[in-house]
Amino acid sequence: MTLLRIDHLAVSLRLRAGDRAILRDVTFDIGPGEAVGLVGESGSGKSMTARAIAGLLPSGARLTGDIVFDGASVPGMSRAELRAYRARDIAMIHQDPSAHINPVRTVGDFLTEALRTNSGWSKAKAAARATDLLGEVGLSEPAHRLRQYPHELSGGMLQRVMIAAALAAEPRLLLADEPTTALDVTTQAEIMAILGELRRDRGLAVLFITHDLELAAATCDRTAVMYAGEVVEDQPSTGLHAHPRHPYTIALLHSRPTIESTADRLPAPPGTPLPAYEAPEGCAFTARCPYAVDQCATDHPVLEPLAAGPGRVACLRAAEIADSPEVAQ
Amino acid sequence: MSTAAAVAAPHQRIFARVGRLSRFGPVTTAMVVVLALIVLVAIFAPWLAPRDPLAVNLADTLAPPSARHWLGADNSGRDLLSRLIWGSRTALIGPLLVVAIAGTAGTLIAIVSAWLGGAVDAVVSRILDIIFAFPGILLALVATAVLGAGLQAAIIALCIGYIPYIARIVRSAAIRERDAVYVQACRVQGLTGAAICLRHLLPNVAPIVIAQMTVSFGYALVDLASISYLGLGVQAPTPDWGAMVSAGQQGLLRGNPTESVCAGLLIVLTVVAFTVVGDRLSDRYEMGAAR
Amino acid sequence: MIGFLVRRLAGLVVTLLVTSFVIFGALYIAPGGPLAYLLGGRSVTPKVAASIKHQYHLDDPFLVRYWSWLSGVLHGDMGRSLIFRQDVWGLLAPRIPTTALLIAYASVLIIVGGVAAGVAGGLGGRVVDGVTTFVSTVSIAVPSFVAAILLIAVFAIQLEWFPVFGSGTGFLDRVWHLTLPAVALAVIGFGFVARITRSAIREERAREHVDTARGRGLPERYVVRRHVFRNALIPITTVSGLTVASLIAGTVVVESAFGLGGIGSFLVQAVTTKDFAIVQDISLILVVGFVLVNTLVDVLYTLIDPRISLTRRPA
Repeated sequence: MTLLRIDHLAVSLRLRAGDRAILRDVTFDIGPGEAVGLVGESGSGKSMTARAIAGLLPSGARLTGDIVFDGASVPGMSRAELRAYRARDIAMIHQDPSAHINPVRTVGDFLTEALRTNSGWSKAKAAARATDLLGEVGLSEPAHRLRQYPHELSGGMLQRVMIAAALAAEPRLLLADEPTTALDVTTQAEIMAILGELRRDRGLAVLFITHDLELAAATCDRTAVMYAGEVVEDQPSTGLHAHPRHPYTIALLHSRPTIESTADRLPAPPGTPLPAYEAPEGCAFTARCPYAVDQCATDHPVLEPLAAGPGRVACLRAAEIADSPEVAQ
Repeated sequence: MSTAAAVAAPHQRIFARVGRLSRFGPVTTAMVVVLALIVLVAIFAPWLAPRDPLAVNLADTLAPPSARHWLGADNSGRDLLSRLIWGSRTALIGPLLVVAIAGTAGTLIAIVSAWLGGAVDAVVSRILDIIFAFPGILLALVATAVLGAGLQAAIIALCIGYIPYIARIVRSAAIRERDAVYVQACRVQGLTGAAICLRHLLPNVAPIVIAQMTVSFGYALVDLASISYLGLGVQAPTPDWGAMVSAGQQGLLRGNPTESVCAGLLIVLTVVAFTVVGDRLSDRYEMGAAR
Repeated sequence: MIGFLVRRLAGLVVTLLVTSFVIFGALYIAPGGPLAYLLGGRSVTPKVAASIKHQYHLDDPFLVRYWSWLSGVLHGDMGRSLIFRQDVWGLLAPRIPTTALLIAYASVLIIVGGVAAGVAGGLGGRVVDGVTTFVSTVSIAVPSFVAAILLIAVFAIQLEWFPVFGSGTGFLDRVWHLTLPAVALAVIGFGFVARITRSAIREERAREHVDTARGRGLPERYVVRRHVFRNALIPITTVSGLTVASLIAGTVVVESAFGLGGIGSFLVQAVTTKDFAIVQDISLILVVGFVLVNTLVDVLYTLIDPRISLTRRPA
């Protein structure tokens, strides 16, 4: 049973210079109440995937493949259906809440407008609900907050407001696009704790987008790794952490400092990440990959189920790497 | 200093920027061509004008277009085309003086005020606010009342009146540059304030000064033409577009609008060209600053 | 809030004091000046000149004369016109309604027309946007006197829909007479407001918080009204206000072009005849109007933008 299924999603933007690919092949799914991490470097297409799920692609974007939410195809929805889907089924929180909340309207307006407009609630009823929600996400003096303007609140407080607003409509799927990246470490932990708690209490499915593989692995049931507009690996978080199969995932895990060993220099993957529109014919990671063979530059790998255990990986040499991760060229 | 890129003086990019101006869109390119044409006409007016713009011939009063007078003749039988061609000189020279003087003064005031900050900056801003309280056309009118009718009074008035328009924009740009990393690096290296202002601040605010001067040129042209239209600027018989619009009103009421309409449209065309090019220049600057 | 208003008012008073001083001073140092007019070219003995000067208080020290002028103006006594041999206020009072009506009419045209065109350009497709941009770019470059002669040529002479000259009598007749002048006065401001409205709306539409609102399933109309328009209103209000303020000086040209008997054309007449009492008073009225509207815009701006703190002067 899946709540959201993304099937070979590809998105390109129509620019003056021609079409520019942003997503090339994104495939994964999310079950009801499941938390899935979507990990990748900046520019890998994580945020665009979230926008595509919310039906918020920029005008002039071309989409192939499918996004199916609870049996309904999102790209095929009419305007009214799309609105109902956004109002009821999904909600989104962002990296920079101060840009995503209208600066000239009060926090109360922001929290209640969806309830009042979409559900036709009275002002008083919506305000009472907003006060409750602010309490739930751990904001002090919730009634006073409603009358404040966004610039009067800190980034962490605004992110709580954002979460409260997302929960107001009781969605089934929360798209969290780097919700903690802009926050300091303590606030980050608090926000993650709130998200985890809400998810358990409400059976909310979460797509957690981050560049932090460890954070995703620690907080999500399953983690998908993106590179150059493609999902290259998708495993239960424990499996991914213990037995990464894609060379890119391996490189990401090795580039994290550990407390046990102090390295002189962190082993970052060599080279720079590639934008989707510059991806070559074969595997996009070839140029940076220590395992690459000639075939990698020409043959495009597709996501294949792992031989052992649940999960999928898109790498020609996945089986060899699984046998002995130390094999290099 | 760790980031070499931030320390390198960005004004070396100016030449690259000027080179990039060639990649204007079609509208802007057309307007650059229009500007070039108008300037060429003004420079070569004596050779281009078919007749003497001042030669009165009452037999030709309000004559329609003919082989003799391509656009017809005015109230006193003077050749309209020749007057329009010569008029481009008076149309351009006034605004040129205004933007050159107001631009130089405004830039200097703004840079010094931004660099020194504090009380100097506060006083300068206050004075600029007060000059700003006088609309340009009103200053020009009062000046002609004091100094007598003629372009001179209006130009002097507008030179003062346009300073705040330049200075305000340059000041905020200069403050931005003043706080930039490369300027701090210069200070660390022990350069004097004057040297930093001259060698670094000035070249870096130059594009915005040029853009603002280009836009102001159009507005100054409108203000000066308005003063001439009111009969207080360029005096007859000197050909001037603003004065011609006014003189042509006689013909307009008698069903011959050529003089007023041609002179008016030339003013509009010139001002459109200056504002389009100026806007484009400042867009480029903003994009450059954002980068 | 009260502190903010007090500071604003204090700044306003200082500006007006300085500007009145500048206006009075500029005309004081004018060569020739009122004496030359009073003498009318006759040569008189220095003694006679001195007695004429004394009679008109022209021999008082500068500051005394400035003070007597300013205090007079504050008490509603605007001095005497040497040419009309009449109180200036008596000359201005019947002319003010025409000018005020003209400014009000043009302001309505600018705000209604400019915002409507800008909204069309901001929300419309490529063609609508292109047309709006073209129209606003050109109209910014049309001086009011050029607009005036074009309007007269087409609507007054060719089509004969509107009168060529005059201010009319009675309200409706006045409005009819003032239509072409108001359009001529409004052309530049219309372009400015349309341009700013268009770009403000385009800019706001691209904001992330607008996406958030869409992503929450709010109807597009609601998003445009509550988020795009509301936020675009801030720059639109500022520019509209500044544009209306600039109309005050623009009346000088338009009234002359249409032969309207307002204070603008009267100023030009007074400049020509060197009737300095009138030049001083009308200049002061125009500057006061300009500064007042600007201050009003400033206050309005801080009211509609909650991000601006009232305890500090907006940077």
